[in-house]
Amino acid sequence: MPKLLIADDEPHIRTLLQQTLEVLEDDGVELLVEPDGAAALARIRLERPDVAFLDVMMPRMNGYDVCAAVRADPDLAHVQLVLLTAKGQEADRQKGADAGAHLYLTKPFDPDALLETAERLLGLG
Amino acid sequence: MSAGGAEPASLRRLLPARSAAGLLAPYGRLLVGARIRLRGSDGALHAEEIGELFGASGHAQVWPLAVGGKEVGTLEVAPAPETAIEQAAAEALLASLLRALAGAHAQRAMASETLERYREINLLYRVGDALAGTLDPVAVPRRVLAEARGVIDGAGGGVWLAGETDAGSVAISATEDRAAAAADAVRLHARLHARLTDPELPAIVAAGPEEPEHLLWAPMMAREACLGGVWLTRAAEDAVFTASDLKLLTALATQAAAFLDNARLHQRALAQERLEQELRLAYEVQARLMPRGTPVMENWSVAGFWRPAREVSGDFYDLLPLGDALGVVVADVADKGMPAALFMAVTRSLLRAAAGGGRSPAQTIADTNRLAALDAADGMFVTLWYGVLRPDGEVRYVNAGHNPPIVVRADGRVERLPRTGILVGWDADARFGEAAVALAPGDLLVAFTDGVTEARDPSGREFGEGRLLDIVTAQRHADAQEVLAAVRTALDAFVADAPTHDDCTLVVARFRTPPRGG
Repeated sequence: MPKLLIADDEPHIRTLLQQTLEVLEDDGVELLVEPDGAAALARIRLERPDVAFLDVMMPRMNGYDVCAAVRADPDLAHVQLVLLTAKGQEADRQKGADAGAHLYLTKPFDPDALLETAERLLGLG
Repeated sequence: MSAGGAEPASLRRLLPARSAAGLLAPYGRLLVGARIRLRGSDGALHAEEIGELFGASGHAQVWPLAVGGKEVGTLEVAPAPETAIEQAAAEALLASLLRALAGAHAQRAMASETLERYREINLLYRVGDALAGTLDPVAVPRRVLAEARGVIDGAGGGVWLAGETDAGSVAISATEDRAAAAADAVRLHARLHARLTDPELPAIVAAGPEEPEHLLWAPMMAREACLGGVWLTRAAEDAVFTASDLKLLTALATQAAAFLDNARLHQRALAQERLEQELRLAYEVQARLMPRGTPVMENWSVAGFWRPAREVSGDFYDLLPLGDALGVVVADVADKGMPAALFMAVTRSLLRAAAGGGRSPAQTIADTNRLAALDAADGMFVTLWYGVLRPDGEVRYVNAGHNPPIVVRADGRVERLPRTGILVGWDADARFGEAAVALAPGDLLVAFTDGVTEARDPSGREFGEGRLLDIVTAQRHADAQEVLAAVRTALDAFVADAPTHDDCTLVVARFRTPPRGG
């Protein structure tokens, strides 16, 4: 069963992300939701999801550090990482890319584009 | 497309299995002999709690779980509660479940609303990006129509672009087939205007007995002007458009209107630029019609100056070599701009053709007048002075309604060369008188158009004949070119940066002392 992790410290944004992506459950995707970076990394190590959407500014561990920790673990090489942030600066994108993120989406995210990205990364129609 | 909406989601979405299990757990300790089950609306088991003393299920009691007016699942207690305490516990559980479901439903509805706003914001950004730099007035509404149809479910739609007249208006249908599109759009546009109370206001119009389609209309307003509008239609059996659809289409239409307004301004600027370019070319053509240099003329020095008020002019002067004589023309068409310039060119050619063959000035002007009167549009005529300068100082001339040229004698006396006939081009049968004046060595002849004497300074005062006379008299011993330069310098200084209203033309001829033995 494919797994997709969502990590954002803002409960409302978490709800929005979850509600946008829950349609994937109909395709058998399991959604995992975590409220901070450290919890996200622990869950990624435990559940080894296919895709992780990570907020950049999170307590305990930010999105860049989660990316870097995942990339440093050869067992997690398959995990595709997407950073979510309000910042749209090229420098932030570069920082995300350097930390090993595959994609960089800015908030407010387009729900249709977010879902499309998740489906593409999960290899769903 | 919507992630939630007013329709309640499934039990699984409203109350995830883990939360459901947490909610049921305490009731397992109250209903120790029962099995509590939550099922989705499809009957699938969602969560279960089994009491410690549960043995056989027996007859179950089932409560529907409804939220937002829709049943999303059931609560099942088996065996059915028997005691008042068990009944109270089951009802408390039911109330707790319904509260949790209602809360989740409200939260999801709010999240859906927010996601809808996200969608709109992103749409407006996307359309703004796509339209930035688009200067084609048809491409702008086409793009908006396509985007609107992408986010608002609608069977069809179109764009109406208001023209200066009904015939200039354009309707673009969303249909791809071009031939069908035109007919479709024209028909729909006529119909939708009949359905709208005010086309300058956004509107939702539901289908009716006469109308098989729901209509959504958003005008494209810019600077308080209605540039047209975007409409979407849906079949009567589908849902009517919502206020949210209307808001989104209005936002798109308003954005399109701003781009459309820009595009139209840009096109107008281009047309203006093209016109100015044509006028510049016309000026160059006309400037080439003016004499280049001065013909060498025995005993005379002649200089001329021509300056149009706009790009093209109704004034002209001409210098025509006629054997040992020189024909001098100073003329002013009674209009400005392109019509005057064209009439000027016609008059110049006619006069040039008529002047040869030893004809007198009066014959030349009579011939010119006859042909010009045939070609002249209503109210188009020209005043001109035509003089033939002879090597002995005699000048035979016709003054056809022109302001009288000035002769300044070497001793400073001033004479005028009065009118000898009416305007050229007014009456084909007009007769023109001819007069003569003899210039002695050192005398000056100055012919000009009223643009010189009526030139105004920034405070609105006229240059006047007095100033012209003063300059010419003071310069009467100078060469023709120097006299001309003195007048131009004075005129330029007088007018300064005031706008020029009329064309200026001036010709100066000086009769020189004949060489000894000549």
